Order: sequence, then C-alpha cells, then structure tokens
Amino acid sequence: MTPNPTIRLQSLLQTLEHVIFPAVDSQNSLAQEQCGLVLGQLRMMIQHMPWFGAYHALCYDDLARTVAGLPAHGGGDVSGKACAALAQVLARTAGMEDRNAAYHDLGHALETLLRAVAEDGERSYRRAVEAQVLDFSRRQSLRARTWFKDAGFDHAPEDLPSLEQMLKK
Amino acid sequence: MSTIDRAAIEPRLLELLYDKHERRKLGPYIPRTAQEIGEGLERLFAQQGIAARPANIHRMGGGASKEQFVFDMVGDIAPEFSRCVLRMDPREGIIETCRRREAQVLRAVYGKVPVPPVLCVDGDGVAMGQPLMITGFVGGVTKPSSGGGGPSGLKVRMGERVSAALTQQFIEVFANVHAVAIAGAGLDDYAVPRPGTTDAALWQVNYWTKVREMDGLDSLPLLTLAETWLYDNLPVCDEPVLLHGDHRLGNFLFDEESLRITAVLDWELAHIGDFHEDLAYDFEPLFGSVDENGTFLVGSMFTTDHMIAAYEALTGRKVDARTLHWYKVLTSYKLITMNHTSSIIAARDGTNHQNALLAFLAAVTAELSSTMCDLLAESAA
Repeated sequence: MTPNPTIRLQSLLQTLEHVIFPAVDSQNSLAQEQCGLVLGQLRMMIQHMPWFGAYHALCYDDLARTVAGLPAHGGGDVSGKACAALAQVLARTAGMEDRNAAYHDLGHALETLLRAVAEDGERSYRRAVEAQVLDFSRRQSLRARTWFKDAGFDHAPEDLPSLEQMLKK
Repeated sequence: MSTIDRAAIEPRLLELLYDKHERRKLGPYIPRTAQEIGEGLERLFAQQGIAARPANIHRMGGGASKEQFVFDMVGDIAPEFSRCVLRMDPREGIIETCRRREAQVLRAVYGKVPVPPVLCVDGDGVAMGQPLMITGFVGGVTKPSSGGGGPSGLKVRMGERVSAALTQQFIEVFANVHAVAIAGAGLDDYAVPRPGTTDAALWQVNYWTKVREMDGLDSLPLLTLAETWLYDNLPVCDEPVLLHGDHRLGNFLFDEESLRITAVLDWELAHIGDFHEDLAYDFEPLFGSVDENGTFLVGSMFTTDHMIAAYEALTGRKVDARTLHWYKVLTSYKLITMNHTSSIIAARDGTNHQNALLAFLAAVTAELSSTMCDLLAESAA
C-alpha cells in the first residue's frame, strides 16, 4: 500500500502540530489540552503501527499456552462446563485471523472459568488455575506497560525493553 | 459464596448506571459552548429564583469526568458566589456519579473541611439537559507551578518545601472528613452500611462488578481473579464513616504563597464505608512517587508509615493491615474498571467532552495491572 499508514499518520501529525494546533485559541484551555493529547496519542500510534500484528499475536500465543497448560479439571458441574467451554474456545480461536479478537474471546472464556472455580472448583484445582492466571497476568502487564510506555504513566520506564526487543524475541 | 448478596448496591448508584445506559442511546456528545452555558445558566437562575446573571463564562481545563466552567455573577448575590464554578455531567464519563449527592456531601462537610460553598444543584438536568451543580469559586493550585506532571494530577512532584507545609494539613483534612457525623447531615441520597457487617466492602465490590458487567468490552482475566479474591475475603467494617472516595493529589487546592489548603475538590465518589478505603486509595502508587531511596511517597509528599501513624494519632483508630490490603486490591479493582471499561466505552461512542483524554488514560491500565499482580501475589503468599 502506497503511501503506507505510517506515512499517512506522520503527515497528519506534522500538519496538526505545525499548522492547525498553533492556530487554536490560546485562551481555550479544553482545546489546548486536547491538542496535547491528540499529539501524544498519534505519536504512540505511529510507533505502534508496524507492530500491531506482532503484539496481538504475542499476547494471544501466551494466553493460549497458558490455557493449554491448565491442569485437568477438578470440581463440580459449573467448573466442568466452564472448563469444557474454554477448551472449545481455545480450539476455535487458534485459527482466527484477527489475533486481537481471538485474544479477547479466549480471555472472556478464561474469566468464566475463574468465576466457576470460585463457585465449585476443587481447592487444589482452583489454586493451580489462579496461580497460572496470575503468572500470565504478570507477563501481560509487562507487555502492556512496554506497549504504552510512552504514555508516561509507568513507574519504571527505564526498566522496560523497547517494542522491538519485546516483539522480536 | 452462595450466601453473598451480589445485588446489594446503593440504590441511587444503581439508578445512575441504568440512566447512563438509556442516555447512551442518544449518541455522541458535543461539548457545550460558553454561549450555550450562558443561556442555560439564565434559565437555571430563573427556575431557582437566583437574582443574578452570569458573565465572563470560560471553560476550565482539567477534569476527566465533568465539564467545568467558571463565571462571574452580576446582581444580588452573596460575596462567596461573586465568582462561581459550574460542574456538569457529560453524557458518559470515566465514572457515573450524582450531582445531588455531591452537593449533599459538600453541604455536610462545609465548615469542617475546606470546600467550595454550594449555590445550587439541578440533579435532573432540567435547565441544561445534563445534571449540574454550581459552587463558589475557590482559588489555589493543584500542584506547584514547577511540579510538572501528566493528566488528572498524575506524576506530579511536590518538592520538599511544599510537602513540609502541606503534609499535616492533608492528613488532618483526611481525618476530619471521617469525623463528620453522618446522622442528620442531610446525606439523603446515601445508603449507610450496617456496622459490624461486610456491607461496606460488599457494596463496593458489587458496584464495580456491576459497572464491568454493564460497560465491559475487552477481557482482562486479572480483573476477574481480583473479583473472586475480593468476594472471598470481604472484611467487616465496625464503624462506617464518610469517605471522600477520591482523596489524592490533584483533588485539593492550595495557595502557593501561604501554602495553606484552600479546598478539597471532586467529592463525586464520596460514600459511607470503611476508613481503610480512603487510606488504601491514597496509597495507590499511581497517586504518588518514589523518592531517591526507592520509598513510596503518598501524594509525592510523605511515607505510608507517616500517614498511618499520624492518622491513628488524630483519630484513635487502629489501622488493620489485612483490611488495608483488601482495600488496596479494591482500589486497583475500581481504578482498572474505570479505565478499562467505562472510559473506553465513552471514548468509543464519543459521549464525553474529552474523548481523547479518556482513550489516552485507558493506557494506565497497564501500570495498574502491575500493582494488582503484586497485591494478589502478596495475598497468595
């Protein structure tokens, strides 16, 4: 595709930054604040643009591995049904082209299992499921922090890898 | 878990959530112009018998949840209302709150805690189509002029001089809020949890879980893990008190010369509950900073140990470590819920006056999730 989406976004960013935003009423504090947010968000999107597919795939693959690695079911009917449904969603999402949608479909099914094991899961089974979800969540949190590092909210941005380092592993 | 009443939510708060879902059908929200606000204020004052008219109307910056305008009042009006602030609901926001409740709590704490005086409230949005409240204007800043920082008072540096002057005031204000007598305070739209029960904790988990149910979009298994942990470990609250609910840096004003706190703002999340909840909220890492030794500073000013010791000395209450921990998890739970659900829905549908801010703020979920993981790991240890 020519021009590619990154070049199209960069051209918008330059125009907004150097032509449009300087013309915004300096007394309009809401408009001024929104200009800063638009610039910040566009800069992040330009940085993210080459990596969307790789990021979604990385998140999905880890979640799918986590789900596949859960221990064999132990508990009552509610847990049993949720466990079986999760396995079906895992199989279905494995072939989905949209990895972001696949990630959230599988994530929702895992959330259903978490509620189910809280209701009637055997104690050891519940503990094992929860421990693996917490481990996954730590990895996912690190990925999300890296992805959104430039938003400026992170407590230790210097400890995070670059997007390239994270996604080319 | 079958004995837990998951439907127990403050009635007014539940009503607000359902109202929001009806309003969502109206489509995107266009921020109001100063002229539209002027015309609306004229209608409002006529309806409420206020013998003054607005002038010099300007939109205020900041405020991730409400549209705010400042204006002068011309006419027969008390001096504290010669300049006023309008706080008005957008169609949707990061949180759904009640202007009537906010006015009630401001009136209840007036004279006990520095707050703006309330001129009037239109809780049903009769005058301008959206619920609103008008208070007197109070001067001050939320951070030192040299304090830097990001949106909504996050990542601000207070500095030693300001911290030294504000620390005790900050904690005293905090304790004074919790000392307000609830009975007879006019908090008509508030429900009071039963002392000696888990009501205070349960209502909070139920409410934020309901928000997730109604506004949920993307999955976040960590949040559901937290939900089940919270339900499993509900603490008993022996003495429900009035809570600010959003007590943190960015939500109070101080005078940069005298270094006195001039007003505590943003009472929209106020409710009645366990004092540990306000403490835990102040201890959220997002609302502070770390000093050169790696020690967390509440509001970028003082340590958590200092806050606990000072609070206990002022109030005679004892901080329970397990209860405080539970409320830290709750704090993470509700902050992630706001940013991961309602914020994104409003940004998606264009129903807020600051859609770009809401979409930007949602990125904070990454940092909040990191905190949540640490808290849940600590619980499991």
